Amino acid sequence: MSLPSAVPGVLGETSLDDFDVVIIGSGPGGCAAAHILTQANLSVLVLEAGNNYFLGLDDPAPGKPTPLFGSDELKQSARFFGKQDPLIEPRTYRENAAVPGLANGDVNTLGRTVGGAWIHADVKVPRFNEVDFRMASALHDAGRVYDGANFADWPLTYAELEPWYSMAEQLSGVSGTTTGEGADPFASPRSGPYPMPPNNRMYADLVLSEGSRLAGYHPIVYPAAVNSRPYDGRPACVSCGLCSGYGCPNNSKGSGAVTMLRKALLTGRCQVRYNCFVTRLVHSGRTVTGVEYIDDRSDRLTVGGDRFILAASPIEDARLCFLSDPGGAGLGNSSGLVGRNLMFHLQTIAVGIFKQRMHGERGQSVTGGMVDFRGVEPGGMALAKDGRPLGGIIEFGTNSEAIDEAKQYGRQEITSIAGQLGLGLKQLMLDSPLRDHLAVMIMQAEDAPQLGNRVDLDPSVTDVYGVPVPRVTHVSHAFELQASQYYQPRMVEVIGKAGAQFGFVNPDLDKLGTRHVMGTLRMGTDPSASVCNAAGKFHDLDNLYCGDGAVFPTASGYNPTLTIIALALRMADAIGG
Amino acid sequence: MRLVLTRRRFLQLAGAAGAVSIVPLVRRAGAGLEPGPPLAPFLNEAQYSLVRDATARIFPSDSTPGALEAGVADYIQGMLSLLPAADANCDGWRGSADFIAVIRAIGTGTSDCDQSDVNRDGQYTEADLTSARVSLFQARAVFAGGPFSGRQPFVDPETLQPSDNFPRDAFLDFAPLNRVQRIAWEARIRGTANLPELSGNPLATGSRVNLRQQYSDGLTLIESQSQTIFGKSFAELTPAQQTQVLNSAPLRSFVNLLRAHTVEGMFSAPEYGGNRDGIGWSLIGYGGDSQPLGYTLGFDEKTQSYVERSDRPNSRPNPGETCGGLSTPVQTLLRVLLGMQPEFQEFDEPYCFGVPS
Repeated sequence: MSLPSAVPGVLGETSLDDFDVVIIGSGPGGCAAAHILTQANLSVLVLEAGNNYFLGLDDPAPGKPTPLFGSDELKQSARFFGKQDPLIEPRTYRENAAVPGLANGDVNTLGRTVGGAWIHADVKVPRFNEVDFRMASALHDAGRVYDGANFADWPLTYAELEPWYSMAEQLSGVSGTTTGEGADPFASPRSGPYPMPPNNRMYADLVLSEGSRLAGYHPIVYPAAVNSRPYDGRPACVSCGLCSGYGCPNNSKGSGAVTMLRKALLTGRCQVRYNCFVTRLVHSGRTVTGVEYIDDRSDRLTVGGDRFILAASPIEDARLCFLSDPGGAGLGNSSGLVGRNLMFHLQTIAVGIFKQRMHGERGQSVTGGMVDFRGVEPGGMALAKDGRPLGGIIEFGTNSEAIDEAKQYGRQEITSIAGQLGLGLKQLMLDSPLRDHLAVMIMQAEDAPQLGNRVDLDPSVTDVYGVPVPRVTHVSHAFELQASQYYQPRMVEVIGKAGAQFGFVNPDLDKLGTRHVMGTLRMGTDPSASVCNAAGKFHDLDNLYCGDGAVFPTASGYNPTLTIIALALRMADAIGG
Repeated sequence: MRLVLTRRRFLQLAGAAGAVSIVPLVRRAGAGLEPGPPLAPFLNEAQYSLVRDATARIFPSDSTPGALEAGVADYIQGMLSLLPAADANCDGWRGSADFIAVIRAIGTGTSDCDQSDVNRDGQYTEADLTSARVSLFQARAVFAGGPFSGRQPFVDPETLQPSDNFPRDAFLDFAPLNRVQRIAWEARIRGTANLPELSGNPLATGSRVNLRQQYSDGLTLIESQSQTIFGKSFAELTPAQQTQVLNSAPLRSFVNLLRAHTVEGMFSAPEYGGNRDGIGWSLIGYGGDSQPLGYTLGFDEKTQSYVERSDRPNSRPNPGETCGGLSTPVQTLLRVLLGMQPEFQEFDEPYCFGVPS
């Protein structure tokens, strides 16, 4: 074994060239699978389209890797560092399937870097509830009918996934609390506590938590894969502030790269090839035989393996299924469901502008929230008996970005009052109503699955590799729009109780910038009504699996990543066992 | 001699640590060429002055500093001059990979690319590395390195207070760009004329690409508008007249661009060329990059509580901070701006949780 790799573009054991499993995508699902598979003595290749910003990720020396991330707003927020750059890879979007997709730089684009999207998240990791795994039945039993929605029960239960949730929390290093102040009364039963106690909470969280409490709700400590203590060879978080949207400068964020993928690399049975963009899966009958990709020298290469895992995110997974079957229905698509039931969360943002300064550039972006608007009974085992809508978990956040703030003051409705240049702009930056005096509540409302919400290939737009881009068709359902309407005044009430001077709801309900992307390869027991089975394997293929949020039958109302990891761990365990 | 530190750093930048073995410096037989002049930055002197004057109107100096003091024009110059340095590996691109080519040439005494001899003196020496660095650093990085800038120290693990130990400024490094990232930034700075790879992307058009052309055209337009309105050059106008020119309708789109870059130059890390000495951050009371110290310095097992920075704590307001509120003009603006938003309310009894009254 020879680590670290000395070959440009390659991490891990470079002598490997025959792989038991090839994983496409190094996000949280791919990292989780790589870890379990290498523990089972299988050899693993991970292909990543993006660059690597972890120097020495495969270096066994303590203190590695050295991240190239920093608290650098220009690089990470304004210039797409480690993110999908619209000049390289655009997407197209439309609400209505009767019109052409319009090129759009940000249809929920995720990370383009070793570690995937979770590098840039502030790694909030609530579990789904018990009832989330049987949402179709629960809605049916409650007599709640939503025309056009395509809810389905999951082919596994919360109880079956619970051990994998626990393992995901241990591997990622999750801080949180199950008892006392800040415990989540709506969370379903757990087999054990969080690996670490809560991290230091930020001021804006404490302000909104007070408002939540005064309004009669139950503010929680938001579970996050952030080290509140030194853990697993990584240091504690120092609350540096630029967290959501930023790679972590000191590895205290338990993103998949520095936790599970690093462990996989250090076994000597894992290799990562980065800057390698996969263009198709080569297949014959029920077998995938190889993966074609373009490397950083623009060479087209093919690599073989015994088994293959799609973990490139739901939109890219579905795109690859279509690219792999030109002129056909799409790889693995006998059900006709590949690309369908695409789900985002519908974000409702209630904004408070306060007299005091929030100092949002301190703290891990979100340290608290509340779950009262998810619409379930305490314990998460049933829908709320009072029939209130199914919203989602709420995050208590602020604004940490000064450049972004200044650019917001360039919006026409502001410049028409304050002027587009001069002392008006400067006064706004000094006063800082939209950053330093701002605190927000963000609700991640469940997005009803719909057949027509889908990914296919755009007929006219291509990316830098000359490959057709994904075309996203998505329209919000009354299910989530009504939930948003219902909870909006209640959110503003909390803002007021927290002491704000002004409160309002952002009129743009966000769904294309939520970074929560699910569905497109729905899992289920019936091959005519799903693409993958409960183990994440494609019904139509003997050796192709999905290891990310594409398999979710429903979206729940919680951040999806811990569930992605838990499912990927479980899937990989079945392969390795 | 061994270029251990420098080499290692540059090799890491290219993600190729260890790819080149360390060998002693050797000289090659020189062709005795004259040292070439360094490549010039994009904006010429007149254009640079115009940018400086116009950005000073966008974010003015009064009793407190503005774009002029922050060096916003230097930020813009650095951005427009991205990638202009010696192409030391003859791949048609300029970036950190060129350092590798120079290091390799120094190490082996040979190179496939004549331009590895950056200073054109007929030898591959450390002087070429210096020249490449000078040449490259007329431009600023697309992506600064990381993780730390050296503006804040490490915490002392014993006392849980700031130590005297500051990391080096890794923001001065250039983080590596892969092939497709270079294409994107080439398009942004210099346009898509030579980039067939982007022909299928409707987003790689218009104001998203070719900043150099937009600046050339926009600055020309500022001058011609000055002449049209006042019969004078922009530099000869009073500040109020300059503002009037910039607010004129034909300049709307260029001033939008200039404003976005002005605020980037005000509030981005100083390594990108603006925000000189963190002047923009100080102006607005913004902490800037706080690593590795951060705001939570550690957990004190004895007191079972987190230790925070005393001047800038994480979980509470700054010491001495009051429930001061926004200025009257900004409150007035917010009432107009927010009054039309859903669920708008101005609450009767705002208060400041955790602020001593």
